[in-house]
Amino acid sequence: MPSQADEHLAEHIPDEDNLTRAHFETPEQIAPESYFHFGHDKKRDERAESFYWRKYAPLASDIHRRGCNLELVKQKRAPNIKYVGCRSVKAGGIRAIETGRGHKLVVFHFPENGDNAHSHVAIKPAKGTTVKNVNKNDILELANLVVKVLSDLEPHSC
Amino acid sequence: MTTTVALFDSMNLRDLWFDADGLLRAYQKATKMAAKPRRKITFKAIVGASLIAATTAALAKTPPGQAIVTWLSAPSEASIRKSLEQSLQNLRRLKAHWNGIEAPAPIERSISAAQYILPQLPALHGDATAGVDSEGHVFLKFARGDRVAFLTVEPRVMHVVYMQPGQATVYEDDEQFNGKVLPENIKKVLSKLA
Repeated sequence: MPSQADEHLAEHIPDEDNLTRAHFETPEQIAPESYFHFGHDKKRDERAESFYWRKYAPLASDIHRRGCNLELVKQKRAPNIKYVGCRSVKAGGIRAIETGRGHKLVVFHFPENGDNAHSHVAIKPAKGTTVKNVNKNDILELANLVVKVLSDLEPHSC
Repeated sequence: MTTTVALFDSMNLRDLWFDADGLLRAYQKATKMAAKPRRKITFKAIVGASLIAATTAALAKTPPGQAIVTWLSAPSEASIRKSLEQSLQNLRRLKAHWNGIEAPAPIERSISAAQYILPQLPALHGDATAGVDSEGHVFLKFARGDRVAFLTVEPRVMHVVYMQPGQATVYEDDEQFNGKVLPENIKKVLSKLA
């Protein structure tokens, strides 16, 4: 099914609400920042990573179910990838992140493919920089700051 | 009797019964060394008892609930470099879409360049690992306590960012790199982790 955002359903995510990231790993033991690419989406002119808003997925099992479904989808392209659990953070914790050059992150509700919990954490570039032109050091810095604020892994094996 | 036993020994008849003083008896060799093993056993018992006593005394001095912790020694410079080398080697196994979505395979020239400059890196401490960015370029992550640095290695360009809480972040963007020699500016930033 093609990805389709149900943007008309989007709500404001309060700072105190939890966001959770489904965590996948390959056997190669690479640096965790590798999983936060913030790749440039030309269509939306956005650099975002997916999270789940716990308002619509309150139980750990709600996240693990999504993670296991995603594992099956991802394994079609990467047979060794595994869903290993999830990590959480308050929306306000993400919004408080700022790099040395003033790049920040925004959190917004992004219902997609009928999943009302789906949300985005996206780069809000500092003044004078476009989303497309955010450079590699800034992206790695942001990825590292996100990794640091996430909670310990709630492990799960599908 | 002595003659009989000596004769018996000389004929290798130990396992046989023999007649002594008119009675049929099984031969039993006199245990000349019996005293020595007994001494050994006594000695072992004394040593063992001493050890038990010493250990018990030592353990008795440990306050209840206090664990005895043995710290592992910090990873050596050589082991960090080796782990980084292994981490880079692991990247070679990643194929396109390794993250299950759009990630490209790591670029071979980027991995090779990263491997080439490993011996030129300043003294390494803490943890080091490798990763890959959204374009397939390799980055090296160095972490020592709460200080972190990322060195992205492209075949002709390098980028480094150094973060330390309470200090201004240091950036070196688009540093020209000839594929062989680690630029001085990059070395200088990485030296902050020393």
